[in-house]
Amino acid sequence: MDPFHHRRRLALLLLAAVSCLAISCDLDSGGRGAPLRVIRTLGEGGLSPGQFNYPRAIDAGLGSLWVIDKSARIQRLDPETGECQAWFTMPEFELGKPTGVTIAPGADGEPLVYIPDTHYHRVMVYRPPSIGSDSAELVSTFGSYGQGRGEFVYPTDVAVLTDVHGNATRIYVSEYGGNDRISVFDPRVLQGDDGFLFSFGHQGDGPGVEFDRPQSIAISRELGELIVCDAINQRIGRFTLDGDLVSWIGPRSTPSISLDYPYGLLVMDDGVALVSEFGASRVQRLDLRTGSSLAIDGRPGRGPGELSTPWGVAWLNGAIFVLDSGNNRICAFRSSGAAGPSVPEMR
Amino acid sequence: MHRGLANALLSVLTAVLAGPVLAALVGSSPPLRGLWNASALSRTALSVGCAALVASLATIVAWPLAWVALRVPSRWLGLFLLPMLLPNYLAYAGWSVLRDPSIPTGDWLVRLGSPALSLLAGRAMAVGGLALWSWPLVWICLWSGARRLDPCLLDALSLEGATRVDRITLRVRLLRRQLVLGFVLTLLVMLGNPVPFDLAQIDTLANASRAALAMGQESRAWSVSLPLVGAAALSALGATMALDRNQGSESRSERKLLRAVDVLPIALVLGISVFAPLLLFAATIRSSHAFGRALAHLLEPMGSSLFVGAGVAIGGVLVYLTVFAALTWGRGARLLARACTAFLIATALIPGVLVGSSFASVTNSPFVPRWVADSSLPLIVTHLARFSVIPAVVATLVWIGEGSDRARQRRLDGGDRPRGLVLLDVPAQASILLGTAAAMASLSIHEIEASVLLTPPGSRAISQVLLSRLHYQRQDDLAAGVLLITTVGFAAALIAALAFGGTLGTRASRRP
Repeated sequence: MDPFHHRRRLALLLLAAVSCLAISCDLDSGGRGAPLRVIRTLGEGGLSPGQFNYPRAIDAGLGSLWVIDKSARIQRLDPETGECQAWFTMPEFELGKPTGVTIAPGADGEPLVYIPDTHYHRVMVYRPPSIGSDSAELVSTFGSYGQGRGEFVYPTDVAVLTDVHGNATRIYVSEYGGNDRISVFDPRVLQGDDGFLFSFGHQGDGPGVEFDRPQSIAISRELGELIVCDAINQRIGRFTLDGDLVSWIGPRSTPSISLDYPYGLLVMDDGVALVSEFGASRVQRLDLRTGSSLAIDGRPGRGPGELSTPWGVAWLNGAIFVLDSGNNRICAFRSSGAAGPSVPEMR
Repeated sequence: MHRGLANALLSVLTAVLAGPVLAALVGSSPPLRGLWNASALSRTALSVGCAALVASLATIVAWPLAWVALRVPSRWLGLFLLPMLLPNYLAYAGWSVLRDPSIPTGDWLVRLGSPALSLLAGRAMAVGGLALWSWPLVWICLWSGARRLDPCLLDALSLEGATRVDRITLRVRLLRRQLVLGFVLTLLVMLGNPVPFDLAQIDTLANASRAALAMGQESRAWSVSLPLVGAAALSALGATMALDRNQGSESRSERKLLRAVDVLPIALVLGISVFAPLLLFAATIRSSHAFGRALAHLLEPMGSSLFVGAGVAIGGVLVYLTVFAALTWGRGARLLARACTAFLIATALIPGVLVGSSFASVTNSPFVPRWVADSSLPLIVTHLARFSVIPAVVATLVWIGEGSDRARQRRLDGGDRPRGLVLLDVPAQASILLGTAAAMASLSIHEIEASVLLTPPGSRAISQVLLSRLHYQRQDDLAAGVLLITTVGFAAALIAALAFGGTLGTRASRRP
């Protein structure tokens, strides 16, 4: 008898079993919601001003959209036309590009551009370039690599708490890569002083103050809380401004909610958060108070109203802008019932 | 009539698998003017340099194993192919776990405070990892030559007191053709391979092409890749001419016994190539719950990928049978079969992103029904375009290895008819068909370059799911996912390896 007869038989049986398993799990993306009701689309793939090379960070301020992409450019864009009004480039980017940008005031209320320089373990703060400019003045750099106080591994986002006069009183920085925590600084850090106040959280997936890639953070003035996108743990966290956990919103706490790598966060002043989900390629509206899902917009795809791995979401002039990263564009759509962002746009 | 059938099938095969790529190349009208600027030349030099470095290291690894393999029982020979049947992005991703700041080695590297050193470490891992992935290409060239050498010649050297250097020099001289072939083959495969180099941020031609496609610049993508396309075309012609029935096969003495000392290099190389990256992933897993979570996330993508893999496996078998039938049924069909093989070699060597882009253009055209575009069929066909070189070349090698006596016997038995093909050749070559199917399935499961472009966002292709998160995240559930997926691919690779190995050994021992 052929010496390989039994081995062939066994292998054929295995192959048949695998094929049956495969056929039973047909290719089906699932979870396809309605497409976004897009008002306009800004940008396209490319390296010219107004074009993007996989954009990963967006914010709104000074009447413009601010976008950082994988060519390490920070572009200031006209929200109506998408025209690049100003731009500058990160000084170093061979190791990687930033994954966050925040337009917020400094200690004296002056608008600043906060950039968590993810792969260089620091936060860089610039004066916003004026329209027509191709460079920006560096105001401050703080942070260095490490696990200690005031040190970062991979910083992802910055949120700034302001007083009633619009002056910064605290700077929150989220990070991952082992630390997976939120560090809080006094605005003196922008003058080169220590400035470190405290940090909270550590890497984990438990019900306490544990994070696994806190990708985005934002302050809710309505609730007086810090909201955190705990991306890998597929949940949104509510914390007091001193770092105490209020509640988690996610499948583990509320089984009816599904989150698939929530990356981008925009907190509205009616207690609603808009979350762009990298994994599900959609935008979900969540009621932060009740932890319930209010709406899901967008679905995976490359066509109009469809999204591909959206990294961020911003609000400007009554419109929501979602960073459609995989499609190299920004989609603007109207959000029903939204009264505006929790932190008023810087003008 | 059966020759006409073979011709028709081959024509359809070539048109379906290679046609879209040719059409995309011609239709994109890639501008030539950008080929000769300093940036393009620098990128070309970097690409060739990195690929050559990988090929050199792969050759160093493969050389001793080619000789050791002469002592290995035939049924285990296929294990030497294992590294290539696993995902190539693991070649970098697994080793680059060492750069993770949460691991002591990564923490130490960052604390050195030198971004240049950190970059260099990453690039070294990409090059080293790819060498450990691709050495089987060189090995198979060297082994096929080494096993044809008369061992008495080598034994005579020992008896005459030749030094070790003399023996090595003679072996190199005897196998210089196979050395060059293995080196060039590995270099070509590396040139078209973007993923690990992209993760290591090495700006190669394939990466530039991929980046251009990601920004919707198809013409520029083809323009940047023209040197690769040219190399693929020339290689296809050269390889097809080298696949000549008149090569003949030489006799060889009995296989010597495997010694304990021979097992060590095999275990070491296979361990470093295959198991070390997986162990590094496993080391990042903090909790066994990670496997449960990974399974929950990846079950559907895994099923989808298996479905596509099964389709590719079946398609690969059909390609094999078509090419084999054409080679055995008559001269006209034989020429067409070799032309088809040449096209398939070229599409295999062209960067996968361009192949994927070509088929994506066809899929998204108005005359393709939506239900076809949304099905798995475009992905299956694209994977066949990328990997059908394997069944085509294997079928050609089997046909060459038959010899004229067996060919004559085949005609007498009616094996040169479709019915004979099914009743005689399929059972006789079941091991080869099984190996081909498993190899195709394994490659398809882990294919990513074309899949990323062809599948829509939110698709559940496993390689796409993993790579979209692999670069950024080293969480334990993701590492668990990699291990789970690799186990599935490993199973298919093992089937292929054992099936091919058995066939290699059987075919070797049938020769007079």
